[in-house]
Amino acid sequence: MTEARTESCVPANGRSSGDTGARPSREELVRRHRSAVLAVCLAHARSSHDAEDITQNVFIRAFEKLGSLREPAKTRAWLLQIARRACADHHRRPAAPVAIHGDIARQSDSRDSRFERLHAALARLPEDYRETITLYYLDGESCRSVAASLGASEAAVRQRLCRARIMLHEMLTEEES
Amino acid sequence: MQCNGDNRREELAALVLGELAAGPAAALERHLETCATCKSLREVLREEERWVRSTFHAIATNKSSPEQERTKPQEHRRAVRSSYKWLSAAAVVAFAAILVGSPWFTSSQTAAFAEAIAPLIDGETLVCDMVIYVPRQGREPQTAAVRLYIDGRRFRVERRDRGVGNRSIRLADKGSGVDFNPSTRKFKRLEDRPSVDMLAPLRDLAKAKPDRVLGEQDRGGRRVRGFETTIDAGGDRSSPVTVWVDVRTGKATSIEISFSREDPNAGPVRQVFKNMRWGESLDDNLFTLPADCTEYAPPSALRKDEMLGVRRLRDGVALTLSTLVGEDVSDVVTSDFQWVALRRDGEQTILIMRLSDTAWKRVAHKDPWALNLNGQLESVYSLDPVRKDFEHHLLLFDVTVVAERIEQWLTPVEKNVLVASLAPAKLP
Repeated sequence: MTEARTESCVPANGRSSGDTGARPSREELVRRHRSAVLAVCLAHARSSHDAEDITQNVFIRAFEKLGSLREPAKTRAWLLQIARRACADHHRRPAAPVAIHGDIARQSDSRDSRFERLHAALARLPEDYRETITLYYLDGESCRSVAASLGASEAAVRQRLCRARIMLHEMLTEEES
Repeated sequence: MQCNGDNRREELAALVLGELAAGPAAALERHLETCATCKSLREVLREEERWVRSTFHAIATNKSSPEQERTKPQEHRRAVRSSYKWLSAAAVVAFAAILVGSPWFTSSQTAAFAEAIAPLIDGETLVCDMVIYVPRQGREPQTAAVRLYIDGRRFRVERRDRGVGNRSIRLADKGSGVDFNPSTRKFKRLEDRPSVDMLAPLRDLAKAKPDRVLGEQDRGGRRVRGFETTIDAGGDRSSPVTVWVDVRTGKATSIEISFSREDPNAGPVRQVFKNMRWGESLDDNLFTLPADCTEYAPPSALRKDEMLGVRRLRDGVALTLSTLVGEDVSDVVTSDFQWVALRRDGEQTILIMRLSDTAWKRVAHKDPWALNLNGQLESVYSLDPVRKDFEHHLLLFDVTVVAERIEQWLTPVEKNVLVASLAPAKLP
């Protein structure tokens, strides 16, 4: 019982809107689009930790601007654009001082070396390949869905995905050797 | 065939990702039979793919890496997954459990998850029955059963609702899926991808390993060995799991999972997977929609105040709701309701049930009186009433968190349906 209530998936207007109807509630935004936003952030951020932080910020920004969303049908594209800008802003800022966060960073790196190994390989992919592959794996493993998110054709996404996957393989192999 | 592998790399990637069309995939499979270079690359990609998927999945769920998690004590693992809601976890565990193959137990008790599910990912088939038992106070347990067909990538879930009398089939293939009604020849696309990403839950079983060996016994004419383990069910919960493995074949023959519920008076929900048959040849038609079926077109938009939907049955009415906690769960309730209504009050949605006099006498003074929404055999959703109206024999439940699916519930109601227009003011 309480599990469901604490989920707080309470639509502001009491109805489902998704990307097609009324303006989505905050909870809907997060529930429907978190994976895609995280995918884009992961494609552009310096690390998977940064990607998670930026994802949080993206939704905070989105909540603030929700009132200005004029076309609910384009909610995902709108959010992904916010995510790309947030990543660009993040890159413009100087990295956190290592002297202060060094221990934490080291522990974190050790704990999540696997994440970072994958992220390092992703970072070497061309930008559009990066988004394609992260969206694919994080948002449902469906070319159709990725195509819809990126406004590209399914065939183009499939081609990019396969190329990206092979490149990722080469980078992981290279790094291993 | 002469081949240096380079010209096939993208095709091999597509094959491993499951993104190659059937024709080219068959051609490539034929090529692989004769080309050691390509075959070797495919194996490397497959192995790597498991790592990539599990790492992405761990990132998505904000968990520590699977490698780290395998070494953590169970308590720590629970903490890591504390953000998981029990309901989602129940569904996750259910599908995870049915898909566990024998390597989990036969090769090494600490076998990595990826190794354990390799036969499935590589396409080993599984056919089994699943039954769920939901104890109810003072009443017979609610039970339901489905037949599952899995060919590693694709799923078919056949369900027959005893109360409603409908037969429904869910077909899922990677990121997409449909619910299909063989009677009406209609299908409906599944919108929530998590519900059809059936392989994702498998990754959650990476941490499980047998805690106790139960010894051997004869079951259904087979010599089987039992194992007990627990699986994280979210929060501080864990669900005990018993797995029976055929001694001769090393394959799991049945799996039993027990889910405790928050209500201390409610017994645990049991989910039993049985008659498990591995490696059978499954007809491709099992996983594809029949050619003559059409997509379900919902009726025109409901009027604003049309918030009551009742499907009349011989012994009551059926109500279908879905939860919002991560899995696309359609729930069916049959009971002694005279009517069911939904009232929206600002952001709150209240489900109102009017019980028959007999039913009211039976349940009115029992606390807690939980509304069990028996999920599509994936989970159980339970609610306590927020208010009881003794004068009108009403139970009121706060269903705000599941309100979003109300329209999805109402629109599939096609036959024998009473849709009344009720102004909120007229409701209690």
